[in-house]
Amino acid sequence: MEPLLELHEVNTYIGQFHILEGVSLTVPAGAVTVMLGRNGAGKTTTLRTIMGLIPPRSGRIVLAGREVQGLAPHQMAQLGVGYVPEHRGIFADLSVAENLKLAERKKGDLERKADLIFGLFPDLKRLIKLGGRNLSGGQQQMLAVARALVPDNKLLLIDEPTKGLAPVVVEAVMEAIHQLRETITVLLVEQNYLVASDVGEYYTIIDVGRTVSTGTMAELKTHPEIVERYLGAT
Amino acid sequence: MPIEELLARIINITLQGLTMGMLFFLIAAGLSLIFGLMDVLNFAHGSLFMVGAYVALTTFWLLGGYPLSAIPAQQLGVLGFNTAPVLVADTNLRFLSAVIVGTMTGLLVGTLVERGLIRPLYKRPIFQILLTLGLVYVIAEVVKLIWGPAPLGMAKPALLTGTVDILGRAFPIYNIFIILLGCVVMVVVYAILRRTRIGIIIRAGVEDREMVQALGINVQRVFTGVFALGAGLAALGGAAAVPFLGGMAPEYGMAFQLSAFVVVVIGGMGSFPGAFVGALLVGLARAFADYQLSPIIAQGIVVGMMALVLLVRPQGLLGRKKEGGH
Repeated sequence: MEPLLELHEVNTYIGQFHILEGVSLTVPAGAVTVMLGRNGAGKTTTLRTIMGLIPPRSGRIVLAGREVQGLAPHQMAQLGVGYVPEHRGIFADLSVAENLKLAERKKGDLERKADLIFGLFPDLKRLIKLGGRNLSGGQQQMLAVARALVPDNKLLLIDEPTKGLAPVVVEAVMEAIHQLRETITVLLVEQNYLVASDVGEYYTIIDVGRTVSTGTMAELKTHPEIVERYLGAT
Repeated sequence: MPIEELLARIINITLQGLTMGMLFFLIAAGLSLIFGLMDVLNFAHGSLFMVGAYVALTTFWLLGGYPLSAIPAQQLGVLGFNTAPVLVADTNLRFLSAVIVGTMTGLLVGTLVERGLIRPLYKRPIFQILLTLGLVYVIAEVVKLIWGPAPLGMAKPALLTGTVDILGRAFPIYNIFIILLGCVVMVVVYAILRRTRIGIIIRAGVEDREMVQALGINVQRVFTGVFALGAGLAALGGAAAVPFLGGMAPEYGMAFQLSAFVVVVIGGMGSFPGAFVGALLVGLARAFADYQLSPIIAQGIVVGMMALVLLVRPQGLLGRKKEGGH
């Protein structure tokens, strides 16, 4: 498959700390790629670097054939990259409707995507006027993913969407990602290997700021020693 | 004291407090939004209040036929120096023009300050603070250079001169105008924040600026608008304050700046409704303490209120703890 996103030897610092030490990865178009790794491996920093929230010190980031390292976050978003952060980023003072409306990049985006969004997350329709602060963790997560679907994004960066959620919510969010995979490319950070292996078609393992293993999920399932070594569990 | 007299006195002091509160609100509202959205602590905000006042009173006198060179010599009530043609005889129109010009000047100065001075220092907050502190002194000295150090006044427009009888006590109509002005500003800006896309962006940006950027919105452009709006509101407050205070002097900017900070802390940084509630509380506290005790103790009480809020609810009465991304 053609890559939609490529990282080549990306080095990122946070203050004086060298977090990403030459990360290279490929995200094939129209598929779900899962980024795996232990706590503190550099997964979130990788997503934030791609999104322009932390500028890389060196290396190249190529999106659909165009070099994008150094672009500001709003520019990355305008190129069609949607970001669902670990903390969900739901605006507490805004209603569900306002949270969704804010994500519009063209007038009418939300109207056009309403069927898709409320089809995937029917609960959100019921909660449309509720304030962000009144949503449960699971509802916030659904809203965060739904918000990333409002504009015509070609790539979704999703950071640990199942963290702290009840199994039934995890299932709903993963089912949504699974349904999306044919229409949109997803780079998903997920610590839970079982959940990741169910939804991902490709994988990348980050360890101590470096890419240590990549390939198809099918291949990874036949190498439990890799999972054991870098994730500590099967 | 008879109950009616006591009630009349309480109402009078309350209205006085509300008047002061509305002036505090006009400065504090912008300060709060600027800090909430942009993380900029603008020490020069009170100076914008002062600039609005001086430009307004200058416009008022110029339209009344007093050349610019004569204005520093004017004191309220001494009106024998109009050697230029009277451009606008109607004091109501002159006042309205003066307030509009004063407010627009605040908007313009705010825009220039944000783009030229604040923007290059977004990633260096310490320098930003130093810069705005420096601006306070620069603006005060420029004002002294142009208008002199003595207080300058502006006559009340004919329509707002005089008093109304409230339970047997005379209350200035001009003060009621200030209260209404504050209410109108509150309603209009609140409606913008609640019902328009730019308002949604500002409210979201106050919570999590980074996430707003990640949604494709260039927050920098919004910064300029918010800074300008905040400056405009402060200038409007300054323009309206001149007849109420009896005059404007270069040191008033800093005095009102201090009160504005107290209001923002009490109401909650980044909270527009918080600025309104905080301002009214501070205005009322000062009015009652001023009446019962003394102006110095009144100021102390207000600072005490701020300390209490910081201890009990540091994010302010209507403020919220910020999310990540700042």
